[in-house]
Amino acid sequence: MPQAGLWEEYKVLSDQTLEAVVQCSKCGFCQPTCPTYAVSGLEHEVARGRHQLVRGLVEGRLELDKNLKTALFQCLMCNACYTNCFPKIKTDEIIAEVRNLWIREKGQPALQRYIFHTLLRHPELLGRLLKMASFGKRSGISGLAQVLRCLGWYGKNIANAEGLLESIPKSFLRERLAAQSLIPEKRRGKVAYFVGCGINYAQPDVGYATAQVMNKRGFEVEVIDNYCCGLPAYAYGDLDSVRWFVEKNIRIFSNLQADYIVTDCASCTSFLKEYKRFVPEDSEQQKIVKDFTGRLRDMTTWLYETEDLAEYKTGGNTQTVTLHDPCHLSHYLQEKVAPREVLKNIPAVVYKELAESDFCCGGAGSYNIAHYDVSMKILKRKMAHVKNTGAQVLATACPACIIQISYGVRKFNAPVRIKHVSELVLENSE
Amino acid sequence: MKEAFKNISTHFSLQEDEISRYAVRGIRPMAVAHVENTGELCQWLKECWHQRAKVNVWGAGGFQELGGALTAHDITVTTSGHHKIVDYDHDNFTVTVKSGLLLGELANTVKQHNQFLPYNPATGADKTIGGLVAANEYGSLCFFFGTARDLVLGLKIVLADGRLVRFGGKTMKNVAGYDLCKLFIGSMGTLGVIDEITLKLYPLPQELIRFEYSAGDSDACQGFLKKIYRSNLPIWDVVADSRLFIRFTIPTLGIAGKDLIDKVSSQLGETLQHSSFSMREYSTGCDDFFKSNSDTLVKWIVPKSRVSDVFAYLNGQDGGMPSLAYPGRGVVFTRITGYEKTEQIVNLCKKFRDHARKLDGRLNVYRADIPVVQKLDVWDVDQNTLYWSKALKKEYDPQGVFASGRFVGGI
Amino acid sequence: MVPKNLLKKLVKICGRENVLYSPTDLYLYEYDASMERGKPDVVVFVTSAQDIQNVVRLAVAENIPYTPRGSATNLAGGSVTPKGGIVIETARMNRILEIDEENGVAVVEPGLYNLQLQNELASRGFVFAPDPASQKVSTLGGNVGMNAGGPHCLKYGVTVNHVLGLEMVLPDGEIARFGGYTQETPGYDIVGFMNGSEGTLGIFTKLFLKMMPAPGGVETLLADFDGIEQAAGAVSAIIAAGIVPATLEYMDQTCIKTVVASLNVDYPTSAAAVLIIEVDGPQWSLAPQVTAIEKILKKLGARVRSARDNTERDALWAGRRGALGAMTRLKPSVVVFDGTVPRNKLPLVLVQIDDIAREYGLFYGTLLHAGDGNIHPIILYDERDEEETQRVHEGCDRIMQLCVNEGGTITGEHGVGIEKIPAMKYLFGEDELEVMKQLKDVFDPQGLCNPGKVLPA
Ligand code: SF4
Ligand code: SF4
Repeated sequence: MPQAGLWEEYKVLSDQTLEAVVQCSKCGFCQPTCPTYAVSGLEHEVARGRHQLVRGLVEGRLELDKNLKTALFQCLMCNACYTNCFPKIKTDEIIAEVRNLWIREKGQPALQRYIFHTLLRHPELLGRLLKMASFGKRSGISGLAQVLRCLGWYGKNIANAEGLLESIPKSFLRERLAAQSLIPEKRRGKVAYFVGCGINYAQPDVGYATAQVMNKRGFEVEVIDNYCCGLPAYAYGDLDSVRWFVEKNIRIFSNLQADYIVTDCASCTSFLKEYKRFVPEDSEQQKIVKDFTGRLRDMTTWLYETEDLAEYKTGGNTQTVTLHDPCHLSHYLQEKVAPREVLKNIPAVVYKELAESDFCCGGAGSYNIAHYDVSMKILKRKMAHVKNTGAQVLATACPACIIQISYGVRKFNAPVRIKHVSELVLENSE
Repeated sequence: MKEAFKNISTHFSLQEDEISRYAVRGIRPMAVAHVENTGELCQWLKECWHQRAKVNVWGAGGFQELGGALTAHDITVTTSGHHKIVDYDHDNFTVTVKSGLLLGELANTVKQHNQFLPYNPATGADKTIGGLVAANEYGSLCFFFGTARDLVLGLKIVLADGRLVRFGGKTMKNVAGYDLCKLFIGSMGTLGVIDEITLKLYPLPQELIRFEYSAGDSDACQGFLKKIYRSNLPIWDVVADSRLFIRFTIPTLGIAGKDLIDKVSSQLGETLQHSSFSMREYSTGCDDFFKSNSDTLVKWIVPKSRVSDVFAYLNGQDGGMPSLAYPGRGVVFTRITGYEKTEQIVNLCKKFRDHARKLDGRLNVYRADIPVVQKLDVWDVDQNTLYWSKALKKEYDPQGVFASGRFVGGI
Repeated sequence: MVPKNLLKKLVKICGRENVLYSPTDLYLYEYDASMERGKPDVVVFVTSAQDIQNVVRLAVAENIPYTPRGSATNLAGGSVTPKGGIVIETARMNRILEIDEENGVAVVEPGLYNLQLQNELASRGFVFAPDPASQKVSTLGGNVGMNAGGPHCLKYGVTVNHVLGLEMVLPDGEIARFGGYTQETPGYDIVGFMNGSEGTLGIFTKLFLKMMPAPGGVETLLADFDGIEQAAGAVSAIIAAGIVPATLEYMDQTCIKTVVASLNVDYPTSAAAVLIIEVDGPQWSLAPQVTAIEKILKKLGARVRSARDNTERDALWAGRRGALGAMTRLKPSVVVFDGTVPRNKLPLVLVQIDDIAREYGLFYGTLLHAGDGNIHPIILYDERDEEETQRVHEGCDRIMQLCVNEGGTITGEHGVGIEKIPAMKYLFGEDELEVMKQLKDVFDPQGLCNPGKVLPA
């Protein structure tokens, strides 16, 4: 039996989190949609179980111990459960806060601290380190590799220093975009482009395509000099760092003059939409947040909204394309229409729906590194569905998914190329 | 014993001529008791329990020779005088009756309220409802409406020791406790006497159309049946016979008869013979098949896709055997004609049974003369069901009050 | 706690990773979707009938209770272990073994989600009629165990009407099959009473389910009424007219307002109640049914809307589907009450429930599978408030008595579980309960199979 008193006294978690946990009616409807449950069938691997664990903690029936840690840290924070949850419980918010509690009580590993408090806060330092590595200065590479594993930008390859060297692009996106004009001939408006870390450091080609497409549709591109959106820190429960990033970015957003603010990383988009949670109500900052989230679009949504400006090649060969919905797009932003419609509008695309398209790929930031076995079981399921479509190309809209599914292509021999929606649009544009 | 019984009821007879009327295959009771209400029924059973007497329950007498050979018994309790309609709730489309009511009488009553009970056991309407339900009899309407198991919402049962219990109720959905109605339906009166039955009713349709199709061979027969099974047509009944003649009925339900005929024909891809009639005239026309009492009648129970195989097999037999099927249920009744000698009939039944097994089915002897019944287990029951049926009988009728021999394993 | 040597034996049967016994894990297996709780001693995951058989034999030899569990979505405590013991989790036995289109039989393992079967059947033009609201997540083993219902039972009957056979591990440790590919089996109807036996007479290992051809077409209507009595009365009127809709669902004003506030649905918030009515069958059979229903509804003063296409149909259903969810967002705890009354008693019973709710200060909204008189008042509260919780319990108890008094029953589709054991006495006397107990004794004389359920001790 729940004891009312305990809930009032339990002040180590916020009121919102406690209320969210209590809302779980144990209906169990999250079971078929939760990827970790789908591959394990274990109650501690599903939203219901996770909420009950937190409840057990609050009610003093469970300790903040290793068992609890495993269960709570194995959550993908994909929020597929949220989509199916009757009372609409945002599992990610609960999990982030409990992970934060863990850090507060048990301390943050030094490596994570270094990443969130030093590296990501000083992009120039991070860039220098990566450059050194890519120019073959090997000293300290294995340390760097370890750091980058925590961020997951280069996937499984960086298990060793060689893998890392291969994966770091010769130049980062910001450098490439700085070197050219981003003003179209016929200018219709302006987009401020929020460059996510994964795109900048690992997948500049995607970002390059994004900028090109914006130009082609008549939009000048202003590359925002932003910091990391803060999501990696959030996933590890480092809420202090999250607040640091939020504050920095808000300051940068405060004087953006653009019709749209767009990012081609669905995770960034969804997390930027959450900024309101991290600034005081009725503050000046809150106003800025409101203003920029009003103009904020995920690249897929932006493409969809500006679809009438698209000029696609006609004739030519067709290719079958299927879509993997990134969790941050489908479950956080509840956006499933835009990417589909954009793809279907491309004349050369024969669209094929993917079974369980909004089921997490197991990438989930750096989840694939921290929980390799679980991640691979989830990926295996995804790749089986991908193979069944017979598609030549799999499109998606988040760098973490691209990394994970590309890995799946090699590991499970799936004859499919992975592309960001931006890249497909660019390829097919006049 | 006799003295004790006399106290219960005046409708109690030891008269020779009366007793002999209640003999079953030559086995006579010592006495006959005619019960007219639930109290009497309970009292009789209680008394029998104390006296360790064996009881045979007699409704309209229609099923006394069904199944195996009845063992010796002391008292025959008749229920035909126990026939009240206890509660006719037309708005709820349910009716509750005492078990001795004849099906035909019930049908007439509800018809007056434009309702009907979709239950048409081929053995006829001159049977008591209690008997029909206990014997799990059904007719062609089972295709759409199911059998007693699907139509009975509640039962009152008098147990072997005379206690009265009630299961189920007046609602379609009810999952409170074990569904004991299922246990008693079709238990051939071996576990308790049905005292009262609540049944689900339906609105009387205005017009029905009967379609007929004559198949050239058994493949065509199965092909057509398959179309029926796969169709989403609101078909109420289907009957097929060994001449590969298939009949089925659809209510018009507000659609012009002509339209319906067109739609059905085009959906099934056949031009079909048809005729239209009202529910009051409804008859499947197969009663005659069951009326003749002289032949041995066997019942094939096979997966429904094998019904035409049964026909094909039978048509290959000497002399051909008239058969009638409820194909959707995978049931074929065959009349064994042209054989006189017990030995021959028994062998033929055994041969049929072997063949039924080959078709993943079973074969019961539905009705046969006593010499046949004595040489053959009439119920083709599987080992698991038999084992647990015996265990259930032992639990619910430990003293063997209910005269036995007729059901599976001699229960 | 289970002794070490027993754990060892279980590990040997099921594999190390398939046996859970850490306190954290056991804490997670003490609940289902009801308010009941009970800690098991060990949880095992099985993958075959042999696994189950071995576990049951071991449990019987060691005299330890065991309880089957699927998705644990029971609303009455059916998968909770009040007496501890072994939880036998069958969720991993989730294969479709055979789909026999010719005979209309699907053979499946018990851990398969109802919806997974539906999806497979849909691709072949068939349906499995029982469609409980939880079909996305509830297992078929659980559906059979609880004799589940769903909106479509009105026309097609409940689960027991669609089960042809069962293979199960009985409490004596044997694997037995009853029924199968044929529509009937000589002998007592064991399959019949195993349906709804709530896992107390054995554990299913294989289910033989009846498939039906998909209906072809559907038409959906939404009718709104100014009074609940008219709405409830319309239910009887439609059926009396000889039409058996595929579904006939009812929502009261509280539910309507709540869904309108939280979902983008277009229901009239001023209405006292709405009915969502669906007829199915071959395309050509639909129009006459719709016309007839519309006539009846209008005569009773309803405003009627019908869906022109699938999008509109989804829109009409969105509110009904989302109703429970929208309601549960209002307060932390919920009881989905589950009684049944004769259809014609609905108007009266709904009014009386309202009186009871007022008396006990309950916050509730009502959903009905109106066609079969199955009432689901959704009662919301906060279980951390003991006084409120107590009122909810007492109120529910009164509503159960009301249902029984009006010729109905205490549970239409959720089952007795642990929660409704005390209410069994409203419905049954000593003798009836004893006869039920006898059934249990025949199959499970030691009383180890899912103890503490269905029947009073
Ligand atoms: S966030 Fe994803 S992994 Fe975590 S509980 Fe929800 S569905 Fe499962
Ligand atoms: S769906 Fe939501 S309310 Fe239901 S068990 Fe899962 S988290 Fe809890």
